[in-house]
Amino acid sequence: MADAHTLLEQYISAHRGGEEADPAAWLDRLPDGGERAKLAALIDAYLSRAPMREWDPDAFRASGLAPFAERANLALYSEAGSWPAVLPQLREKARIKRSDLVARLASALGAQDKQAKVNGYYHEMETGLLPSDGVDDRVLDALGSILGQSAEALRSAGRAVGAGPQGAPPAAAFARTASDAQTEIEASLPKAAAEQEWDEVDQLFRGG
Amino acid sequence: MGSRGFKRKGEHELAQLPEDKLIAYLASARTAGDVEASGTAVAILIYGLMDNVQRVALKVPREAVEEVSESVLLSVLRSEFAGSSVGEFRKWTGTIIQRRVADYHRDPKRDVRLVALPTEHLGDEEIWGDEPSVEFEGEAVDAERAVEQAYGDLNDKHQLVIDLYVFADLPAREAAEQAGVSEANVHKIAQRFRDHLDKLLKDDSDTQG
Repeated sequence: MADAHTLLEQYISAHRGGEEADPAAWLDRLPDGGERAKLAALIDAYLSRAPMREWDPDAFRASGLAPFAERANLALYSEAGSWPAVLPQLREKARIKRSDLVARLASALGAQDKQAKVNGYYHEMETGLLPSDGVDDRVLDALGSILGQSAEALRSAGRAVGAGPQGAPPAAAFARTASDAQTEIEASLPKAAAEQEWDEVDQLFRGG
Repeated sequence: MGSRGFKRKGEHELAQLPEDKLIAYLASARTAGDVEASGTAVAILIYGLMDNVQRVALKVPREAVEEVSESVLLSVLRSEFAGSSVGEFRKWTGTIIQRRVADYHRDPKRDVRLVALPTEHLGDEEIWGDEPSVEFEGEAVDAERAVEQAYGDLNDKHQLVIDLYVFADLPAREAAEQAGVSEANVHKIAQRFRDHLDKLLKDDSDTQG
């Protein structure tokens, strides 16, 4: 069986040669124990020194990172902290379809008959358009329960980052940078919640 | 065309920037509210950091790699890097990786992407150090410390040899030329580094045993 130093050389050679070099898979070549820990530490030292990957737009698109990068960029501007980057991921992790989540959220809030409005607000949460300060704890309690996370953690993630953009929030820019899928969702939504009569759903999402 | 005095750079020009300059550009784009410009910078930065962020896969279970990696990238993007060199940026990114891995191990059931770093806007390692966290302990961390010590015990020239020959995988002759030592010495220094590391880990294992 090869030792950690030999496997490091092979790993580096594979990584720099552009081969698939999943560090965890390389660790699996050694049994649990000191030699495996040594290999992990050596690969860690190597990766911490690795230069930035040279920009390759095609490889970036193929990597599947683009949707995350888009959401992360929106999170830099949103009044809802990292919700745009995190909420879709939590929903995916919980394996809940968006429509099911909205139905459960509306039900938990006693707003089954206003599911379309809840849907609109939830969409604004996921796209960072809804200021998190206005969202009532009851919404976050219900959402947290559906997503398996605490309301406090959701609240914390919704805090905006400091030193934001000058002037008005670039809401129009969100629309410009939204993915095709988001645009389709948006087009299918009812009129903006703000244009409808203020009710208890508005209170829950904007008056908290 | 930029907005509010911010001068936008082209994708090709951005791709040539070192990490510290790229993140400084991103901060300027954000301050100017230029979502499109920051989007390009975010994409280049995230893609560029993927090798560094792969370190997460060495420290958390396979099923948590994506979650923790994304939390690292979000923290890098949301924090305000105060340094002015690639070296400082690397150290700062390394600190974020350690913190996020520790956050994961502190409570694996909680999604680490939701954990806010109280000093997320600060890049000062001393302030990072004040934050409560549970270190990821065990053999893995002992080995990381041993690698750091084995490397740190070398003088600057010998560290350069290790960087070039062991970690950058340069041929011994090229590493020797760049470091200003003989080719034979490159092999000796690399072997001493490996032997020292092995001894540190053996001593550590004997102490614990």
